[in-house]
Amino acid sequence: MACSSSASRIVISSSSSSFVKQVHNSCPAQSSFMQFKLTYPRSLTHQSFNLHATTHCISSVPKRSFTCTSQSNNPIPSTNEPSKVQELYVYEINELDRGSPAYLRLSKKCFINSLGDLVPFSNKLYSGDLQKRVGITAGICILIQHKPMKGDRYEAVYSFYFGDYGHISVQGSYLTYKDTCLAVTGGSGIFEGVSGQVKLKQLVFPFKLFYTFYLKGIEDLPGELMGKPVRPSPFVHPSPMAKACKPGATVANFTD
Amino acid sequence: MASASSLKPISYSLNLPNSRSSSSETQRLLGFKSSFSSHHRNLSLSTTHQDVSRRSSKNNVTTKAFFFNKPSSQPDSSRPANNKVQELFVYEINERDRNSPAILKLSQKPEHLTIGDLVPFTNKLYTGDLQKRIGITAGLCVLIKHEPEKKGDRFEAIYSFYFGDYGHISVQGAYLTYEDTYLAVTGGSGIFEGVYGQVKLHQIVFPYKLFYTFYLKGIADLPQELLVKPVEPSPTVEAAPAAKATEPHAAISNFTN
Repeated sequence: MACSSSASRIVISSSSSSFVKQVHNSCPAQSSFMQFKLTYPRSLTHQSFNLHATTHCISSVPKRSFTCTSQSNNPIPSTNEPSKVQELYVYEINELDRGSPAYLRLSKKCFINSLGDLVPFSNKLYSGDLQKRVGITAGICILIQHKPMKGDRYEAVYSFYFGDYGHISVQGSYLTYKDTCLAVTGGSGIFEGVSGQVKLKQLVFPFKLFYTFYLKGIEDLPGELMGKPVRPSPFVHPSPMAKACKPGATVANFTD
Repeated sequence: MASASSLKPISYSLNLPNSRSSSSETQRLLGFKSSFSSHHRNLSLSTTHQDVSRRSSKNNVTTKAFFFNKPSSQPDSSRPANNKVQELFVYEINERDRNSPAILKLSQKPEHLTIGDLVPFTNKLYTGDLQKRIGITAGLCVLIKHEPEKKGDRFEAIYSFYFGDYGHISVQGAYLTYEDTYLAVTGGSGIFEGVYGQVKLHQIVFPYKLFYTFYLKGIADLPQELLVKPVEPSPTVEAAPAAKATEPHAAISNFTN
């Protein structure tokens, strides 16, 4: 299913073309379903999560570099160039130690996801190279529509916290069966005044996600966040130091 | 509309399990650690290879955003180069007459707040000098984490500030009951249409009195009525009696209620 849906998608390549080359492959999408039941004490119903491990098939398309037209020659670093886009990569990983997600089955339908269900969640956030723990995501997914045999559509409103650097707030659709783009609605700290969008790529539902931010309106991001991202796959995992939040493997005052 | 038939949301009175004496907390809250802007200038802004090659690209390709087949050839012109920041001060005060907050203990653990609990809320909004009633705040706090050591909670807050005929400002970000935070200004309407920036939340008395400093960009000069010299935040601040009573001279035009 991933093959057909992504045929119309063109991968935005940064100039780190080696990363893009690895993502391109023409093998058909493989998906294996694993039934995974999580029961909480005193839960109203059993909640089963389907783990989809998919390798997305991205048809080979001409690579285009995403540059902006108005390349200012202004050497003053504090000038905000409105149309300059910065790409930021992060991994969101649910390590099942934050009580998340909290599936609130508030709709009338007992055993089926339905409009009215709310899902507050909070997961850990790592830099794109998976070497540093940066913080957390936190927010809420509002179930909009359940598509039998396909998955769910949520409206997601949440933020990415980067410790002392600040945070980025986003809003948009989250489809459990497909990649989506969310709007970057704002930020604080170094992300103050940010605009743009973010591409959500799900690696293992609902535990591992890879995000590509396309950010505008902010100063150059610190090198610490701009390491070469690990190629997204279902098998990625943070470095042991980052996972243990050892000094040197986190950003300053990483959000927890 | 969330049906309450299967779940009974329990609306607690304002005697929250982890409420604390206000005076000791205020001491801590007023000592907010240094603001972000000064802090992150000390962070190294090293340019990586990626950055350099991206920015020095000589390809004069027209900007095309390829997202799900939506090409766009216009450069973003919604953010002018003018970075003028306007500071706006307001007080949010819970006078306990709006049934707020509504603590929905929807999570599995009844003893203290855990992820899954939701707190819709709405409070009154006054100008920074506490002389005029502006309107209200309205929105939702999603509990993310209970912090036992800090004796508080982390919420993800999504809400708006309503300024009567002037319009509204929407914000999103972290609300920590034990610490000041910065939230993102996500947008606005009326005179705040197109606004962006951030807002500093300073909690004076949990959860009744909060002081906000907005750093707003992208809008025309704010009216003088809102740009008043703020009263210094302290636990004993109160709205002026006339503002509380929303007398015509002590309230803005069609203040939100």
